[in-house]
Amino acid sequence: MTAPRLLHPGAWWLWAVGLAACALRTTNPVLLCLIIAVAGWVVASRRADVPWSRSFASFLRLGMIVIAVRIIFQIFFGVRIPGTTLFTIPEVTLPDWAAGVSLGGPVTLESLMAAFYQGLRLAAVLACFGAATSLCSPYRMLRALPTVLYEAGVAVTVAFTFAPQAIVASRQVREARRLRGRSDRGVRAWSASALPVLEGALDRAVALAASMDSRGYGRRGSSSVSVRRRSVGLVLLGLVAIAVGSYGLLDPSAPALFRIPALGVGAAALIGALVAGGKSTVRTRYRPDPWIGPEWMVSIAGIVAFASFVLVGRMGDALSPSTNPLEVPAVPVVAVIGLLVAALPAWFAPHPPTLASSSAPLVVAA
Amino acid sequence: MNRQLPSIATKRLLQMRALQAAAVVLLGVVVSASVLVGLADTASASSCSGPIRDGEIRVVLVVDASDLGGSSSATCLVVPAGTTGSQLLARRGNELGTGSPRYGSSGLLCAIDGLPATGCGDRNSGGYGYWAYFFDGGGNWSYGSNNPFSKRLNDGAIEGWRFVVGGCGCGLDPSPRIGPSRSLFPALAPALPALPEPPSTSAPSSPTSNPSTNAGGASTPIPQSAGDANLEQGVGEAEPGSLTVTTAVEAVVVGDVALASSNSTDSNTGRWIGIAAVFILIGFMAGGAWVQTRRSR
Repeated sequence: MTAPRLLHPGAWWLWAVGLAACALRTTNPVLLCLIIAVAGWVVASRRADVPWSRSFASFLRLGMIVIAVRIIFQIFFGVRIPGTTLFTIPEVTLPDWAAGVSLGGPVTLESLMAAFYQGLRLAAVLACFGAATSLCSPYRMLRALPTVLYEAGVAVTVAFTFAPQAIVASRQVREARRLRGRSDRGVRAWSASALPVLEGALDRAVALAASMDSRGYGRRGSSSVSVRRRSVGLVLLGLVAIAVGSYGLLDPSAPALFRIPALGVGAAALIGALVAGGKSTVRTRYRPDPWIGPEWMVSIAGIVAFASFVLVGRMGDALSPSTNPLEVPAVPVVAVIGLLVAALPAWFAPHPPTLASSSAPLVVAA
Repeated sequence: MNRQLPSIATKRLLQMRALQAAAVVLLGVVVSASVLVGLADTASASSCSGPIRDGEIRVVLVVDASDLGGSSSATCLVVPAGTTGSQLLARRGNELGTGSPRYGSSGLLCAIDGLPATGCGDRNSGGYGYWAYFFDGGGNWSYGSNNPFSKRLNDGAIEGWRFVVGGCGCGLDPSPRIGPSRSLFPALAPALPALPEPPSTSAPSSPTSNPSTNAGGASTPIPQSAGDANLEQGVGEAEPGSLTVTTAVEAVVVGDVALASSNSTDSNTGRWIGIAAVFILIGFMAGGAWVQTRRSR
């Protein structure tokens, strides 16, 4: 076992993205529950004692809300799917031009199960990102970003740190309410604290962006205007192409052109921007995070899980169990093994340092 | 700070309990679903040529699977008033023994009589291959943008489904090769003096009065709901010469394709064992996570 240290945030993010990609490829409830369990198990085993490490529970709660909302929408506005009718709610007959929309009507078991599967899938994706947020510091993630992305400066900072900051802010607001003798539960407490939480989180994220700016992030250096324009254009092109490519990779029904080719174009453009803009950026790194054995292992664990899902997807339709007619979902052994591999970081990743044992700064103040 | 620790631990416990509860609920739902799926059975029949009982309507369902190597057929069925388009399809499959239609999880109709065997509205040859829905627009087929699950049928309605290859998914797609002609209905037996039911008024009231009618059309909890696959006779003069019109007997040939759900009981036991194994694993992980969380505080 290696000495306690914080893993490179990129490794945890790759692992989490691998798990989330698995979740996006399946509606099999058994596999989705296993994905959530694996994420929760790894988080419980390897999180540091820092404020944002408790965000996993918040993401789980959000996932349950998503499932409930998905089912409620299916009951009231969903497409009327034939099958075993459980109950019927009053039906509104819409005029001919709106014949494709349905309001009310018979609610079938099949439609509810389909909605539940889809909601569970989204909840699993949320759990994966909750795991990544709890496992690594958002500030370290920012430090590890490639140089070219600093051009996007404030936006990237705010985007990456908003969710963890919101969770920290919500805890503080709730504590403040409790100190004042008010309840911190119930709908009223939530609605009263929503605005301060959002405002506080945004304030913190913007403050972080400003402090990063004052320390030289996003500076142009001494490059000429044309070089800068070229690198910014390449970054934009690369980011858009990578966004399209990763969408195509995650959505099996996307055209083939949107998959590997788009990813390749995006990677090439980003590398080009790296070469063009990287030279001119004046920036030093203080104690850079290493990428060594455990980092490789954690990221490969996520990739192995994704590969197992791709393999199972090729072999049959066990990943998307039929809801019409309803069938008992099959449990593809290969996918389960892949997910168990993704649970391995719970044993093999180095422990995070505890506050008592470590001299390394855990919490980087904004 | 110390005072809130037990409450957070309890919350985490509740969280894990909620996860496990969700798993148990899921299991329960799947069990009851598989029980319900097994409940499909047969109905007592009343003929399409009469007599027609009160609260029943006669409708004709045209299914054109010629582009899939199948056949086109017209089936006259007697169904309870207020039957929906999809219930009619399910009833037809039940009567002809061709199995129930296959739907995608989005509710899109994928296959009738097990055709096509795989896929659902996929893109092919420059367009979509899908089952297009038509209704009788006064002697001509009208492209239906309705949802067959919510569209209620009146007496004398003619519904059509045609598998379109390379279609645009719009009103330009070709219609079934059998036209919506009145001659698709067999003459009513003279024993019945007149049709007792007023066609359109009785239609919407029925499903609310006995909601169990909606159970897919295939399972029949109500004894009086009755139907008959009485293949039409008069197609010879109603259609141009090239198409083939089959009888119920020929349509039965495809039946074993779609009946997969009934013989899957054996493989279900294995699936349940697999699911139980995975959920035991999940239970261990959730329990372990909870213990670790509690110990770390």
